Amino acid sequence: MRKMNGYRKRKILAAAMACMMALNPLHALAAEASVTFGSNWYNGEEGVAFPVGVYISGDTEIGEYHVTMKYDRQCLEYVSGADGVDEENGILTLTGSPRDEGIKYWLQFRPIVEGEGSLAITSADVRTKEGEECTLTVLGTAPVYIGISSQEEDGQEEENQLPEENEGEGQQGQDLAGPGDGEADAQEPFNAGVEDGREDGEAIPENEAPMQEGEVEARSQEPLVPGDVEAGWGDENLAPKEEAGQQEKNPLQEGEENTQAGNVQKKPVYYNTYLILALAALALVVVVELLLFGLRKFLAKDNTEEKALDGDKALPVSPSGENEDGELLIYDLENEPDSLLQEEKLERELGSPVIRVNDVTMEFHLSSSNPSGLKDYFIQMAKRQITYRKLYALYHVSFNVYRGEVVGIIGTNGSGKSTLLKIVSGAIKPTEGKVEVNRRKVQLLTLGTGFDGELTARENVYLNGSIIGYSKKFLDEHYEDIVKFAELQDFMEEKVKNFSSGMVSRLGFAIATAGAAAEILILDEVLSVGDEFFRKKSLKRIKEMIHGGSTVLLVSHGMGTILEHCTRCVWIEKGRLRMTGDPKEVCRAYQGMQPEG
Amino acid sequence: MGHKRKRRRPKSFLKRKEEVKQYLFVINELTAREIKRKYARSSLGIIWSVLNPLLNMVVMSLIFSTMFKRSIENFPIYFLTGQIFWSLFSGATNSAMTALVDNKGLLVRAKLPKQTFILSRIYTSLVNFGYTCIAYVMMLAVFRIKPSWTMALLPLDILFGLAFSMGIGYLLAVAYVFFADIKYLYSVLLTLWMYLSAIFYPVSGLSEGMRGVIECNPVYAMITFARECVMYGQFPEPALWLELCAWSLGSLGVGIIVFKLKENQVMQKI
Repeated sequence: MRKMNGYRKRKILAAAMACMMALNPLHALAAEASVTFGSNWYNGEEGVAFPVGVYISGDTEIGEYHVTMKYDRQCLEYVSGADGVDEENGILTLTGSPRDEGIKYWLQFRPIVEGEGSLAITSADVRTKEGEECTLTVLGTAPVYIGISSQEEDGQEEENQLPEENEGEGQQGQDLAGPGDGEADAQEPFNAGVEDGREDGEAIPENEAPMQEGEVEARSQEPLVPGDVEAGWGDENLAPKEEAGQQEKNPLQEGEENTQAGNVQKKPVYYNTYLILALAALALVVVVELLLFGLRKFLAKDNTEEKALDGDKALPVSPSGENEDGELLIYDLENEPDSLLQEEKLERELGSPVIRVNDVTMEFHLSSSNPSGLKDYFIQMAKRQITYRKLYALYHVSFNVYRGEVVGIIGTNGSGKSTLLKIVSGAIKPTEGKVEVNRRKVQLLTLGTGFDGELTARENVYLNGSIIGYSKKFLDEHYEDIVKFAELQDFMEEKVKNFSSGMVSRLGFAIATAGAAAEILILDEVLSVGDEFFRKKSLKRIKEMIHGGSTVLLVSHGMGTILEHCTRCVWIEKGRLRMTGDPKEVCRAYQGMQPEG
Repeated sequence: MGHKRKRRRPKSFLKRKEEVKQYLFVINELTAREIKRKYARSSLGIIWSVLNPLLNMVVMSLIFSTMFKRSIENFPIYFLTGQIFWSLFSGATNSAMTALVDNKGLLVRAKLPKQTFILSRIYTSLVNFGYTCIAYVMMLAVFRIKPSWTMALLPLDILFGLAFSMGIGYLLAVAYVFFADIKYLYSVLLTLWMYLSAIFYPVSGLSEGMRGVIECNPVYAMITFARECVMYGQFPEPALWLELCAWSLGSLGVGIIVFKLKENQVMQKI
């Protein structure tokens, strides 16, 4: 399949290349060549040498060429780069027989006096490898504007320019010497860079935009017409500037000539200003968001105490003030002497507890108002109406669970049962207090969590199994058992999103109880789902596990389930431990409370 | 808690090995899920992992070799090199950001460090990057880039990139739990970041100041490194190595520390 793909891919590419060729008119026609300057015009500063790129390019490989160009002797002094020079007449010759499709010359000129000069290719004779004469499409000309070096810019400019001279020359040598490099460069002559970046040696390519497609004349006469300028730019990062209209020309000049009127500098400044503005706006948003976040937190702290719910206020604060020493390991049951006695008795009978829930308090912060928008948010914040109340999901809860027990946990909705299970399983840490349990042995099983609907049942078994802590080997070995137990033999390659909730919970149960790994099994409302047969089966499994030394913590609203299976029961109401003991007694008390509540 | 106790006890080598094995297994499974999910509904499935970047690259090289043709030597490759590294970074951080929230259900039950989930997302983007690289190599062949020994340095660059993304990913994942708005803020930031990474333009065309900004950009450093290795066959400068090292280690360090500090709060919130 992939092979075919590659083939197909190549075909697409071939088509793509064909398109590119077609789009490039030069490729389609017979031998043509052009001799152009890198830039449409040049800006120079008195006494500071500047580079001028000359490109000889053709659509086929160029054999021999002979090019003469003229420069203004009055205002320019030739420094280096050409093959031959006639300084008296201001004529340079470029000649040779290269091996590439394009030739690049890197000429250095030094302006002598302020004013306007020009560079022009006067004649060119370019031949292909076969000796055939190329039609010359373009002979470049370029005006040169020379300014006096301004005071402030001078130092900087000089700094930029001096190293550039050297590097430029180095680069030139490289270009001419290394066919690989030069080729690509010349094929794609570089466009005029816009900012001072081009001053650098590495920026050489940017320095010269080829003059092309007949715009040359227009340009040399009216070089500063902004509309023309974009044509020479290939870089899309420069595109935004096109909108800037009048200011357009400024960046072009800025790099090389800072002497023109004050407005010369403006455009790049604008450009940077936009960027800075955008950055500032972004930073502002971030800061505002963070401030809001921080304020919310701050206000939360501020207001929780005053605005705490009545119910919370009414919560008994234990006289011993365990708030401060919640981390104490000593079991504190001062205010529950009955259960203390009970625990002692159990400890004597059953050995040390496997789960020790020690004075656990869990605090949540809930916001009590919901601003509907940012405006509201600010208004409410200004009025200090955004308040948070503390909610005690658990309040100084303590109990122990011993090996082999099935402990039921009951309580009305929102009384903190699930929070307790999460704390026991180690998913969250309590605000105060401590739970001692070997987390590695705990298996938490809740309904419909952890399954990915887009995956098949088989993949889900492996995913969930791995997360629970089964090794790959273990899963490979037990996979059949899991499937068999869940009775989903025919559905394992089916996506889980198509399963019924019963099927999902069966699978979940099967995975969670697959191994002996689960010494402590925590079931959150799991036994009350599935059909009767499966329920029986899972109960049998649980009993087996208990027999094998497992301990079960079970949350359920079904009194039947609790009464039937639990050896002990814990009743939690509004976060507080109301009662522990024999399931029958606790259930009776719980049901007795309900009418009142 | 169990976690703490586990640490205090000196562990035998065998046990640790088993733990690492399990860790890798989890990452493997999580990653497999991400990849299966990605193209779960398409008929070509996993083949899209290669096909998608490939087609994108073809289109991009078309655009960059015709429309913006005259800018840089081998422009399509210049662009693609930047592009794949950029998508590695943005993909990794973006997916790591939601790693914790998306895996709520599994997080509660996981016995391994919570970092696993973020790590698996990072690993997923590495795998995707691998597929993209297949396409990339094809493009290199098409544009006749000569293979050089410096290309062997590329995995190091990828490693730096991943370490950097991981650090950022940790921070984002934690932040996202408390502050879902971060998702939108980050997407805006990514846009800005992308334009500051010189993916499709040469830095030399910019002003001094802007260039300074871009050269501080770790993603740009990453991309430059790759370009030096692949396009120019040059050994990257020591300064670049240093910069990348500093960024990736710094980001990773900060990320891990923040994650450790906030881990419990994260779990409460979730």
